[in-house]
Amino acid sequence: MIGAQHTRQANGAIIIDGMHVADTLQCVHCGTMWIPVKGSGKKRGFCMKCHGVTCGCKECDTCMPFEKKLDMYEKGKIKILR
Amino acid sequence: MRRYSADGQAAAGTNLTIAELVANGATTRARIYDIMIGSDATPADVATEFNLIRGTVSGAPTTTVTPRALDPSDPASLMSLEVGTFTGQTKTANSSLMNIALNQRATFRWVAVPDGEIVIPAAADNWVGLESIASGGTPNINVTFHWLE
Repeated sequence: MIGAQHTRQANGAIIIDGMHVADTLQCVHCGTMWIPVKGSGKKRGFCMKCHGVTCGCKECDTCMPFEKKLDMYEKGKIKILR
Repeated sequence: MRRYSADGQAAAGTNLTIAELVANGATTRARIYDIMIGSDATPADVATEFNLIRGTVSGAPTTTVTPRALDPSDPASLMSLEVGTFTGQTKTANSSLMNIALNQRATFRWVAVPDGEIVIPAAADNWVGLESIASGGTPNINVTFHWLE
C-alpha cells in the first residue's frame, strides 16, 4: 500500500492476498481505525492522559477514554456512540 | 474470553450494508478482532469502497446467521450476524470505524492486536457492520467476522 507506514505500536494489521501491507492505528477516544501515511496531510492528535493517538476529529480532542464512553452509552447517559 | 465466527455474503452497491454483527441483548460486549473480505464472483476489476459502521437498530435482514464457537465446548454466542438487504435499519451517522477500498480480485484481511479490537457495546440491537459505500458493479461480497465475547 503506497505510503503506508509500519508503526511500532500498531493496533491492527492489514493483509492483502496473504501479504502484510500496512498497520492500523486506533483512536483511544472513539475506536476509529486508520492507516498512517506519512505526508498525507491528515491531522491526528495524541492524548496525554490516555497516552494514545486520536483520530483528529473535534469530538475526540477532549479526553474521554473509549471504555468510559462505552460505559456511559450502555447506561443511557449518552445517546450516540461514534 | 470466548471466540466466535460467522460469515455471510451480499451484493455490493451504493450505501448497502453487506452484513452486520448484532448484539442480541445488553449482556456482553463483543470485540471484533478479525475481518476478512473477498468475493466469490467471477474475477473482474471492480473497485468497491467499504466502511465499517455502527448502528442502533438492526432492521429486518434477508438472512440471520447463527455464529459458531471456535471452541466447541463454549456456549452459544450472544450475537447474530445479519446479512443481505435490510429494512428498518438505523445507521449511526459519521460513525465510520474503518474505510476500505478494495478491488474485487483481492482479498482483504484486518487483524487486531490485543486490546485493539473493534467493540460493539452491550446494548440490545446495537451493531457494527460492513457497508458498501460505492462500487463499480454489484459483485457478491463475502465477509467473515471473528470476535471475542
